[in-house]
Amino acid sequence: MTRLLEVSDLDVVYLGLTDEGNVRACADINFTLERGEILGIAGESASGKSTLLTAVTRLQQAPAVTPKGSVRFYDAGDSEGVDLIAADEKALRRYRWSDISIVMQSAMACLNPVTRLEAQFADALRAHDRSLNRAQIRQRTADLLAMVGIAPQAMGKFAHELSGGMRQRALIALALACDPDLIVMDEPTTAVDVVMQRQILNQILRLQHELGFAVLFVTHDLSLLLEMADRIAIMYGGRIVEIGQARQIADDPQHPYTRGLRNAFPSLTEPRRERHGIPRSPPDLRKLPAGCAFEPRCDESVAACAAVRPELLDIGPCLAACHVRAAERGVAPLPTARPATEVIA
Amino acid sequence: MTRTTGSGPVLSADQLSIIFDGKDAAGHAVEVRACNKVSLDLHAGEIVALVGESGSGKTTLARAFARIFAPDEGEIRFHGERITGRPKRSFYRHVQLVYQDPFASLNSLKTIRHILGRTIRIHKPELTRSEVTAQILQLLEMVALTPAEDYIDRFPSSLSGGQRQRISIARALAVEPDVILADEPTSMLDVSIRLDVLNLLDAIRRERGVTILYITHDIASARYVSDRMCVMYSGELVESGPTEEVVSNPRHPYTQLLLASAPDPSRTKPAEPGDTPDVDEPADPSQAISGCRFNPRCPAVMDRCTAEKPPLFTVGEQQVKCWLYDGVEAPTRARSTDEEHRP
Ligand SMILES: Nc1ncnc2c1ncn2[C@@H]1O[C@H](COP(=O)(O)OP(=O)(O)OP(=O)(O)O)[C@@H](O)[C@H]1O
Ligand SMILES: Nc1ncnc2c1ncn2[C@@H]1O[C@H](COP(=O)(O)OP(=O)(O)OP(=O)(O)O)[C@@H](O)[C@H]1O
Ligand SMILES: [Mg+2]
Ligand SMILES: [Mg+2]
Repeated sequence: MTRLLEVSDLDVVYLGLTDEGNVRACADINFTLERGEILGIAGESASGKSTLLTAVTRLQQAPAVTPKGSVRFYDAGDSEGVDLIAADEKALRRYRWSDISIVMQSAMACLNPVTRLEAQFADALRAHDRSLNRAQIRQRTADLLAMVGIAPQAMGKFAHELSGGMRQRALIALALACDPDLIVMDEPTTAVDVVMQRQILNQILRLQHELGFAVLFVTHDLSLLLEMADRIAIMYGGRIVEIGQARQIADDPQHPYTRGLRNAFPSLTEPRRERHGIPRSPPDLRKLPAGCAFEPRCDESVAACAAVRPELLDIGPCLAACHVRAAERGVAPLPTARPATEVIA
Repeated sequence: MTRTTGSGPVLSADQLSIIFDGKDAAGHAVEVRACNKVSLDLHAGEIVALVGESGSGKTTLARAFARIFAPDEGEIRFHGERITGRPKRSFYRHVQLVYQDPFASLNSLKTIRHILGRTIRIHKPELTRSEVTAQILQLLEMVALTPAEDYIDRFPSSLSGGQRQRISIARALAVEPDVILADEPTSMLDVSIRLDVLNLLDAIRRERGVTILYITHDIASARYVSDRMCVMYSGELVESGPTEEVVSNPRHPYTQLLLASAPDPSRTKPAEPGDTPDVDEPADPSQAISGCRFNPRCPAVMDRCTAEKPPLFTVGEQQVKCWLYDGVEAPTRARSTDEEHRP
């Protein structure tokens, strides 16, 4: 496999009116994505998933800033890669929609309401290849729509004339227009029904299989990711707390939050048994504790957890940020309850 | 999970239709049969799940049960008694709706004491102030907002989504209802706290014998909490039966499609992408379709399906509205021995 994307030590902050008002919606994000890989990112509401995607694609808008970190994108045959965080707007435009395309939750917000589908496909296709003539564009648009199961007649329609499922699929077709290396998807199926959701996911998997693009897929629905991702990252309170193979997350989750989340999805096939959610609510990013953000809800926590923030470490089956797990596996000893700087010799 | 079987139904719909004025795709005025000849009995202490795609008529059916809508055809019966005209005020007390959005359904300017106290006083005007307080505390304990004293003077705005949904449920419980109609009570909540609301519904029916209609898109959660499952499609009830039967042995092609589509955490990514057939969007109730309303999407469609509307067939313990089961009396599945020997 060859590397496509490498996110290192990335922080994203929403600037408030004062320093206390700042929200660090993503902190110390590290992950890589290989060509042709599907990486799922799951987490509860406000855990920073959308913030991460907008930062990675450099679509974030004020008051969001990226004070630290890099997002290195490796174009085909480019061993050095380019840091999208440091790149200027002109360089970025080259990547956006030609190497990286984006599918967001609200298709309505992404599709232009006042132009017909055809015109939007024409824009995207021309951005990629200026030499295309009208007939070629029509043909290419029809082909792209066919890939997602939409009849060519639909290209004459406006977004609001399509049903929710069709809009979402049209957006996926549009994302494919420039034969991207990476498609970034933020809850692309949350607004559609289960049957349509299944069809869209199958289409994504089929197209991915044929065309070989990589996918970064964000959703709160872990059960969906288990079925479609190669690897899964779990976010909690703006940080990745576990990242591993989908199989491992499904069968042998490590972080107590991942275990809780995994257990929160009743199955359709396993025997029925009583299950419990995770007690208490997700954290407020403005008031994160000094230690592990999950500590107040965790039933495995020890004194160190409230005081020292755990690093994302390789603990064997996966990477996880949990003192208890790391100690259990002999990767790192439990830290003393007080932060290291305060330890008196 | 326990299964309680009562005598007669507490609340039932008999051949109920709710018809709205709507427009078809071309803009012509048409009848929208959001519920079309639906018959459904809710028994004491049972949890019935109502599942189906968006627009299939689930909310409309719940509102008809709550008599927010009067039936255009058929009737609603409460403890066997037909409700004609405007129901008595006590009816509304016995049948409570819990809405999807815990943020919109509570007045955030009032304290929990005020919100619950008001409902209790309307129900029991004779209670003294301290008796009302005692009841509020008891309700908060019932919905596991403990210590109750810490919650009673808070505002809904200071609660999480799951906690607010518990307040909505506590408010519904305040009037000691026979039936709670819970319309997607967990869909706005974070995954990690949904189960607790479902467990709460289960506790309410076990401890208070309340009958619950649980409406959802999430079939796995419906399986988790319900005794019986009803599947709606385009305004019609197409299948119903004991939850485990419906889930493990869906009869209607639509139920089969729905179950095959639902995400299941016990499945993982296949080596080769699946080749599920593409089916169209669900039929809008404003669309005119002759015969079975599912026929344009049905993989098992026969000539008969486009000509004639199927009646309900009984297959084992399930009822299915599908021509595939005409004359087919599938054998009832063998009961487990321990169930057989129960007195
Ligand atoms: N424009 C903004 N200004 C200030 N804070 C913001 C802004 N956008 C998002 N946030 C905050 O950043 C945090 C992360 O938000 P984000 O939208 O990334 O979460 P998410 O994981 O995508 O959640 P969801 O599942 O609800 O979409 C939240 O606390 C949110 O309130
Ligand atoms: N007041 C109304 N006037 C006209 N049509 C209506 C009205 N209420 C509902 N409908 C229509 O009736 C049908 C059923 O709607 P209903 O809200 O009952 O569906 P649902 O199964 O609850 O869907 P969802 O899962 O999206 O909540 C829809 O086609 C809807 O557009
Ligand atoms: Mg988001
Ligand atoms: Mg509804």
